[in-house]
Amino acid sequence: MKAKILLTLALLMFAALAAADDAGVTWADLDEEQQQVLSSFAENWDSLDAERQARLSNGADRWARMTPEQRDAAQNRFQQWRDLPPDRKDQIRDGYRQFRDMSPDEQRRVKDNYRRFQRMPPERRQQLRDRMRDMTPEQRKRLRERATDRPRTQKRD
Amino acid sequence: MSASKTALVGAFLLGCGVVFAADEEVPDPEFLEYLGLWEESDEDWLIFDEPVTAETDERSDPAPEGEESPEKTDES
Repeated sequence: MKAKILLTLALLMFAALAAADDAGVTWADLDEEQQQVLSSFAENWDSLDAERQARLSNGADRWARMTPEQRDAAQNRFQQWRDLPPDRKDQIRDGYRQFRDMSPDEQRRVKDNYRRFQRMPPERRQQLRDRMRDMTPEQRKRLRERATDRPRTQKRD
Repeated sequence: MSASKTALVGAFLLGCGVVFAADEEVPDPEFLEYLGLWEESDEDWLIFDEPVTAETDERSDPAPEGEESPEKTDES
């Protein structure tokens, strides 16, 4: 009997934790600045799905901490993002998901590569883009595997 | 300038300031969602807009036999 009670309690706790995970962000969880930026959602905040609440609250937090110059730069990137075709956005999201799963060392290496690429002369960058474009999906896949096949350290939680 | 005119001009400027501040502080929700998509900075997605940098990595070890190195150049 005691075991059954303990099991029931454990199940109830598990269910409560799972429900809390799905609950999203409540309006009261937002700080004053976030509430101000998101004031147009004040009335219907609870009706938004949890993922949207998370995106909006993160976005409002980031916006509140940005300098005017950073806001301008982000607006430009947003414009670039909006102009991308849907399939390109999907590819970028996939790449970003893989990036998030990488260890900090791997993420740093990817960012270093990007910076190195940005510093290359435009002709050299175009040359590399062309080479990538000419590769078969199989070659690209091998390349991706090779790039992430290095010893992993400090795997992020 | 009379006190009432000064007050009127002051109220007008204050009103403009409030409108400007309101415009500045409430960005487009779509933009906020975009900012919230990324873990650290929205700059990160630009990395993946360049397949070259996202999918390749400069390696110090030679490419396996039969595999083309992405860093191989045509220059001699």
